Amino acid sequence: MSTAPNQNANIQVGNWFSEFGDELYSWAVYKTSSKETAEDLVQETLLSAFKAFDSFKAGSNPKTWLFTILNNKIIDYYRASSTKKSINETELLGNRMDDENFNSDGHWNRNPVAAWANEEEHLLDNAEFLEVLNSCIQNLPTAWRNVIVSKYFDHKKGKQISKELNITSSNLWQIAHRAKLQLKDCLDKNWEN
Amino acid sequence: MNRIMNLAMISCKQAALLTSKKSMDSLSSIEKWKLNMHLKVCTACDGFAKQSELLDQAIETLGNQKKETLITLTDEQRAKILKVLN
Repeated sequence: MSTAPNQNANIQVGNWFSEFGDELYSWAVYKTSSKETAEDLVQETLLSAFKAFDSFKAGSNPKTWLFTILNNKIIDYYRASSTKKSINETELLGNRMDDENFNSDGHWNRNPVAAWANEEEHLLDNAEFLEVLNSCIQNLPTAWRNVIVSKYFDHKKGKQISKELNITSSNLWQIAHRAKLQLKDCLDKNWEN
Repeated sequence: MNRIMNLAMISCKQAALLTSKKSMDSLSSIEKWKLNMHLKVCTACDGFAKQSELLDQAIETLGNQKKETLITLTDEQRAKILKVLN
């Protein structure tokens, strides 16, 4: 007796998830710096795999296939994170960053160099520091976080990032700048040695 | 000479933005010149620029680590994700 096609797809995709789930999830966490988002993206990947199961060619590599779907989901997610609306929503925080750091003449309100920056050599080997940095990145507004991850994790070029996020170059510089001011501020507050 | 000086003068706010732009993309020759002029005379911005480079390095180091780390889904997460197939 043959199983119904739907049920077959269901079982197969479920098995693949058992086998490759951790890898898919880890990749999604790495690409988004957000556990919740990563869970959602893996879930959407399974759903798409289930729906498109008939297009999967027997004998090809299921892991590659799943990763292709996941990467497309990640691109969609990046694009959705940087709509005009979501960028505007971060404008207020951005202005606050500017005001906190600079006076109306454009001078620094206080010395911008924090104590943590003087530990240079040890910092990059310091697991605790990197963990604090990690949570600072996770707490950035989504659109800002994606700019930072695309640039410094993925080493993408500015042009490519603005294309993927569908924003102008000057918008990109502004976001990168504010995101870094925010990270700096977060480290100033949360890192004590 | 005065006009050249005026042209070269940028505020710390602008210098900081150029510092971030330099890291994200690249600067035009004029921007490079303006930024370098400013950094030569402004200790605060020079310090910020160095700190900014350190921050870049730290984020890259973190990224490299994360890329190699396999995170194991908890049973709870697995069950939650699998709901979509039911």
